[in-house]
Amino acid sequence: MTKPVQSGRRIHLTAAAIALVLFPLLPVASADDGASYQRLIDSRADVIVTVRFVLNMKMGGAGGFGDQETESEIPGVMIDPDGLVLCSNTQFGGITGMIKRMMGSMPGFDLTAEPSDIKVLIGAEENELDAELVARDVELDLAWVQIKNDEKAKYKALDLADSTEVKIGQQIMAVRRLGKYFDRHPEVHTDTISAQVERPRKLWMTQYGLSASYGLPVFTSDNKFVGIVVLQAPDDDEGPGEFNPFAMMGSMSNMQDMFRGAILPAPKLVKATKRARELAKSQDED
Amino acid sequence: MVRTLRYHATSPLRCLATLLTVVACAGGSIGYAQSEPGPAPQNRTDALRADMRRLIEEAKGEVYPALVHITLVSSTYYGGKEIRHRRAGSGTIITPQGHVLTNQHVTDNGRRFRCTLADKRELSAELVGEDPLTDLAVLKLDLAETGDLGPNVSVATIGDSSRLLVGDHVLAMGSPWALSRSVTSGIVSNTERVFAGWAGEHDPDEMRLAQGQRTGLYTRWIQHDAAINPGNSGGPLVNLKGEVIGVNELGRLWGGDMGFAIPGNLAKEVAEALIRDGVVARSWIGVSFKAIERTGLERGVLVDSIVQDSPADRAGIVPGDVVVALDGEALTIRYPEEIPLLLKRVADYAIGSSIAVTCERDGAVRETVVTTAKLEKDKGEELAFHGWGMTALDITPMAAREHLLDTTAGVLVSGVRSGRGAALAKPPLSKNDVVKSIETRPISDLSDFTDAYESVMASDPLPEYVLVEFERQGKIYLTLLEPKPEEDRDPPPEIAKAWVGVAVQPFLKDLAERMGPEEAAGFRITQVYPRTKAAQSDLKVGDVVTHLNDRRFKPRRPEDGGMFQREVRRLDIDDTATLTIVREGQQLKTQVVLERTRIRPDEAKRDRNRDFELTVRELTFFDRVDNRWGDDVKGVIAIHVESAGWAGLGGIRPGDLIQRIDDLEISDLASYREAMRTIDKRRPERIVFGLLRGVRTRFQYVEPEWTP
Repeated sequence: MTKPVQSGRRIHLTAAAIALVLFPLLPVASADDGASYQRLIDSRADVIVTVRFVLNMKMGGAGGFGDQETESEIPGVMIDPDGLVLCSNTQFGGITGMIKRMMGSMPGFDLTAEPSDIKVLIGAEENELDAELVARDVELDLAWVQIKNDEKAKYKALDLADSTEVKIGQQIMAVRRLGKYFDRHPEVHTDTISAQVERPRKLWMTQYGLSASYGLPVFTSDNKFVGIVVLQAPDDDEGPGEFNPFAMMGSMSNMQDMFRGAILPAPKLVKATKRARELAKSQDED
Repeated sequence: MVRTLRYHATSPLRCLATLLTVVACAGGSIGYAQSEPGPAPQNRTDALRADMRRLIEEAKGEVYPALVHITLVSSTYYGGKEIRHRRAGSGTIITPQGHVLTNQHVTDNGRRFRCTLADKRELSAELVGEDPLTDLAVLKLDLAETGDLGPNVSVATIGDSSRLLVGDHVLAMGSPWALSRSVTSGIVSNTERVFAGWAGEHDPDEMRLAQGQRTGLYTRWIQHDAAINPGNSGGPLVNLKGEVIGVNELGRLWGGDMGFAIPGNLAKEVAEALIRDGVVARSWIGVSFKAIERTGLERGVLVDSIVQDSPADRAGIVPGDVVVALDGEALTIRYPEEIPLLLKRVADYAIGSSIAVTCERDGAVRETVVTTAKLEKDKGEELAFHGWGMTALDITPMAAREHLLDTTAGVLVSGVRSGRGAALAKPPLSKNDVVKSIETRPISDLSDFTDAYESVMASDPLPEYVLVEFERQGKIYLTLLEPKPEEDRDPPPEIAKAWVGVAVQPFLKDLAERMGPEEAAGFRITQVYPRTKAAQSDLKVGDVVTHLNDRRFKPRRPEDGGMFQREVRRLDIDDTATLTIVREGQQLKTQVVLERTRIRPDEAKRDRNRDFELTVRELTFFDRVDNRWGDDVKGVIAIHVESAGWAGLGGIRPGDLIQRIDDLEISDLASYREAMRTIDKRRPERIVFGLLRGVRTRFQYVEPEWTP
């Protein structure tokens, strides 16, 4: 049945109602995008560093072919002018913990991956600063790297304590550095907060999953710090138990969520960093 | 290990096999017809069976006592590092002095040769010589080790393989899949097998051992259907007279109806040379030949290619020439099966001989004299340089030709190890680069390179970078390489968090309703870990924890098991937490002091012993819990064991709890380190490791190869 054409007034009201409903879900006004992107790069790119390291992997509990090294580069964020850098532990070889849990108790399966030869590259500089992994928090997916700062240099750093909360529908931005072929030039990524979860802890999820941004700080479009993108692996007792490849195939859709990036709020980072400093200090004393 | 042949298709081979079967059956019928009137059929069969059994028994008896099972540690080079393996093969004692004939691919890059004789004596052996071009090698048993049993060994006779006929019965002996002293039987399927391609070509350059080493140039294999498998390599093929008429070399990977043996005559000649000189000296003229089948030629052999600046090149021979005579003797090579004989004929000239070669070119006959040169080995020696993360090879003339190098000076990079010095150099070194100098010091061969490497690695402190000059595709580069010894690292430190020493299961609504009041949904304690603060509290197995302080637990699914400790980790170590529990329908509150998370196995401190190639870690709380070990169980846990290292060869496995080393008790990582230092000082021939593997104690005997 054909409906009668609505009057012009009713159309305007309907459009206004739809606009009111949809508006919060849309990204911030596009007219401001250029300015906010540039502002983010100008004010935040300096704290984004590159961490270069060799990942030493052992597989199968034996040497030989199961013993491999590979050089990797990951992003990090300078969080202390004295050279403390925060990264995603997943990218520091922590992903092996998740793989081990996914494999459950598969007979003979063993996998370890540990970083060595850690260097930090500031901005587009290729000058490598020697560094060491001083602490990690597997649960929160965080790793702290300290530059061996013999010259007591001061670096531009992000203040983790100066942060804000976000809401569903809000646009967020991250700045990362392109690879060496592009002179590590900074670029901006945007996404939209799509959920706030409480399990396993308070985290913000985004529409596109941020899976390429582990370890990067996230900001609001008005340049307030929100948190850092991490990967939340299930606990040991949340794994599949006995190795069952068929069960793994059946749970592929769940794996999609497992590898999704999530934003760990800044207050959690502040607390964890305090513990990391304490651990680093105790290691020094040892 | 029997080397595996890969065929592009099997159908023609099946046809060939079918044909041979038909011929064999026809021969059998004729044989019966000639033997008429003979015994009745059943008696004939029984008699034949008895005869065969006797023949096989006698033949076996001649060679079997000389059969040797060989085990060794071999090295391969891959990805810029040396990888050691345990390998097994077969061999035959061919002299009273204890010389053992086997395949070169068994002994290749080998050490720690151990030979088990047919009477089960196990002796050490050393390598006498190798000939990769025929894939033959000779070991010599250390007969002094026979002790009271005396130095006598059984010796097999190498028979005349040229008298072998298709259809002859043969026995294959050896150690298939390392199962020693096995005998199988079959018949000869072909006495002059070469591996011609579809176009009927036989190109000796196509058949190669590791690292491009050619083999089989002079070989026409004896094809037979006695089952051979990996491990039969080097073992004898025996005729019914009890003579070794071949050395098994190739087979189909999973056994079956095709085995290939190097003819005994060739093997005998090579073995004698190896025993006499340690090497087989051969002449070389630098020509590849092609049989004239399908060329339209009527006589001679086609010169397929010429190596630049080789004796043939210098004598003016060019590709396309047809050689019709050698030293005045007419020569025609019509089929690929004849090529190995021609190659051997050339190789058998004394080095430096002059050969009169008659060639046809454009219808004209041309005479020339070729002076033979020494045939150099194809593959250079290879070594790993761990501190630089690379492997390198000596450059042989053949390698220089294949890599389009002007000279053999330098070393060829055969692999770089990702994440190590060579791969991280600026610019990185790559496979097939040729290192020309180190710190401006010219490198002419692997010996020079090794000296330069050792000189750098002996520096204290190590230089930050080493200047390396290398050639890549004709261009000369400079790079800086960071030398670095392999380091031992403990796992990265992890932030300690609060923990309650209990294991729990999510006690879901359904289970709670079935077991008791709905309010009991929470986490049910399945174990209270001993020696924890939880054990000192009032908590018991079966308690259902519903609250942590004021926080209510609401697990929804079985996978929520981690929620309990996660909530605990929100709190601080040494805090006192109040747990609300339901016990037998009664709600109780109990307090427990939170302690720090216990060290997990992957966080435990380690020790890596490079001599024994053994990495162990300290025992953790969770090891004790999982294995139900009390405080009285002490030791360290093996976590990485190189299979061909001292510890691996001694039978130590990952997961073993090492509790004693000789008379030294191992209680922790410190005592282990001290024990290993003591052992290093004592340097005993044999060390007894007392282990706990699962629920069993074990004694594993490790025999180190101490070097001064």
